[in-house]
Amino acid sequence: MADNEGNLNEVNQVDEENQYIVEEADEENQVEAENEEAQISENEEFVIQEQPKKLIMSDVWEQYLTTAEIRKEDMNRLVMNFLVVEGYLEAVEKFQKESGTKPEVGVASISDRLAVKRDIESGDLEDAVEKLNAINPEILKTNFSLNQQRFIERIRIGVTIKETFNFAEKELKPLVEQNLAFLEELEKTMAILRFRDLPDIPEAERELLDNSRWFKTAAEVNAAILTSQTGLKCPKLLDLLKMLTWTQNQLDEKVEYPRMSVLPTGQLTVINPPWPSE
Amino acid sequence: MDVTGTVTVRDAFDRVSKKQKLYHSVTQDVIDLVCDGIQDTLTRIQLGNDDGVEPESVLTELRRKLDALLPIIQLQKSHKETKWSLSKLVKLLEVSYHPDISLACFSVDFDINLVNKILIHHCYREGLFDVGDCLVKEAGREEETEVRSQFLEFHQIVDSLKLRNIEPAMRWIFANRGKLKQKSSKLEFKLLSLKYCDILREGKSDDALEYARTHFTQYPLHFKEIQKLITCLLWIGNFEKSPYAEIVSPSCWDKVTKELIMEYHHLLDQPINSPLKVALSAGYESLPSLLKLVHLMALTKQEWQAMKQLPVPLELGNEYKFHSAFVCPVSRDQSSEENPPMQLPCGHVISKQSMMRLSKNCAFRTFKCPYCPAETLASACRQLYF
Repeated sequence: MADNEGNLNEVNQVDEENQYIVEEADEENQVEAENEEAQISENEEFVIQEQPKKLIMSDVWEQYLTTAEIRKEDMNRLVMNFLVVEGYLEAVEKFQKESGTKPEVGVASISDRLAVKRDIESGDLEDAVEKLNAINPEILKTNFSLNQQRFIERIRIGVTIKETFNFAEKELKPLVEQNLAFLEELEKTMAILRFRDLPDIPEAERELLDNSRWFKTAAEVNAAILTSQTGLKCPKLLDLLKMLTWTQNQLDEKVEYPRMSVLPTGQLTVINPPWPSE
Repeated sequence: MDVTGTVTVRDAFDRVSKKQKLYHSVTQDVIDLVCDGIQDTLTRIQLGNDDGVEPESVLTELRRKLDALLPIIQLQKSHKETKWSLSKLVKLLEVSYHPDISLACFSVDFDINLVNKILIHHCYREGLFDVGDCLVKEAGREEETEVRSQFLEFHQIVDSLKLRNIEPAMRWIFANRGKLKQKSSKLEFKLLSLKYCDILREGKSDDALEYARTHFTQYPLHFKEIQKLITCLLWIGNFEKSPYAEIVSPSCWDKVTKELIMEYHHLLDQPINSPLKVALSAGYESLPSLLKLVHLMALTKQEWQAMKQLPVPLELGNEYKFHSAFVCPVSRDQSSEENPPMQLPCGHVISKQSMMRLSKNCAFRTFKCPYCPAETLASACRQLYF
């Protein structure tokens, strides 16, 4: 009887995970899931009253895992999504040949996005701006971080104060007027103008001129391009892993089971039955 | 009472003024008519001589015309109306204002030197240096030279600030930089900011940025303000719509000027307002109560002079409170040197006389605190100093 209860509970849990992966479920599966949920709800009170926590052995858990049907096409789409978002261009092409799975966006788009990111990370902002305008002119008009960085590069290069000032007036001021949240950052940036030479800038404000800001800006622009193209900010795999963590935390409250403790390898903790001393 | 009386008196005065103007016009018209009639008669008499007209008939006609004007009656009417209004005003004045405020005056032996000092300081404070110098000469107080130079500098600074010139103020600030720094004064930076904002309002972005580069790099403590001031450059010509409309507003000059006035006097350890001005203002506010008191109690001069304590409180505003004064909650007497406030061990405070009375003049007899159940000894009480 105890085995039956655990069995139903785990089947339900596995089905939940499966449903997230599978975009369309069979009618039969849906009916079965509903029946199982009904049975679990009937037995729930009994379970709580009888014992606080259920123990599931590793061999039993392995059997439950085999009941989860994960289609190969879904796994392939998941992998492709990861490769596309992270920008592994060659891997995308090879994977497409091997599995026949198509990426959500064209290879050319991925290549362009990566080029923009690379330019920003190396400090070549004007090239990045040209490419970005080719991809989506709207992004440049709304991204404060990139324009702020362009302003800072003008100061670093030693562009005439007149030109630097005109840039701020033309590019940064409209962004601030649309969204006052940028005002404080604008004030920090403009304050650099009061120094005649870069060595005069005190340590606390020198952070604005640090190269590490290139990577931060690049990541922000990359996310903006991704959002405009696919509507996503990060890989679906990341969402799945977060879901897994959440699910295991929920399960910990009710059942003791072999936990997936090492995510990179998918390794489970082992729970073996104690052999009788007889 | 006084406010209402003042309004009533003003109304009566206005009424008298109006009637005076009105009947002045009426009187003038009547006299003009009479003069015209006489002039006309003279002209006709001269012409009549040539035509053979009798002068008597012309004069008779003049008399009839003048009688028709009734000038005496009209003039009398004007005079009566004006006199009536005026007498009404006089009565109202007698009711509203006490004609003899000397009744409320108290003879005090003034320290002539102190009075002279107060007057001289007042003149210098108000910028009346010629009058002050004259008083110094007459009173033989040459030691007031330092005060004179202090307030001369003060007036130079304030007058310059009204013209948007910060040079004299900056000179003073540099001369007193150490003291001002101890007080965490922000005047120096604020004056430079005012100048910078003036340049901004003139629309000269290059000059403003140059000014900022020259002056603002030495004030790391004002980093936040500097950030905003530099960012103002982007809104030149359109400050009303910018987040910095208030910062760039010309009214900041008035605020900083007031702040400088306070800090200037504070540095000299001088009150901001002239002592003479304060005394006169307080007296002016107290006078109605004193006059009413004297009137109600029908005090004679001797009785008034002998009075040591007023039977009614005089309510002056907080601006006239400079020192704390303790009033005993038991006897209601104000503390003095002979009767100082004493703190009981339980923390409550009463006057010394009350304490002695409660302990029956025995330092070792216990008595109960008037405020709480604690018992104490007179010898355990401590005198308080304000």
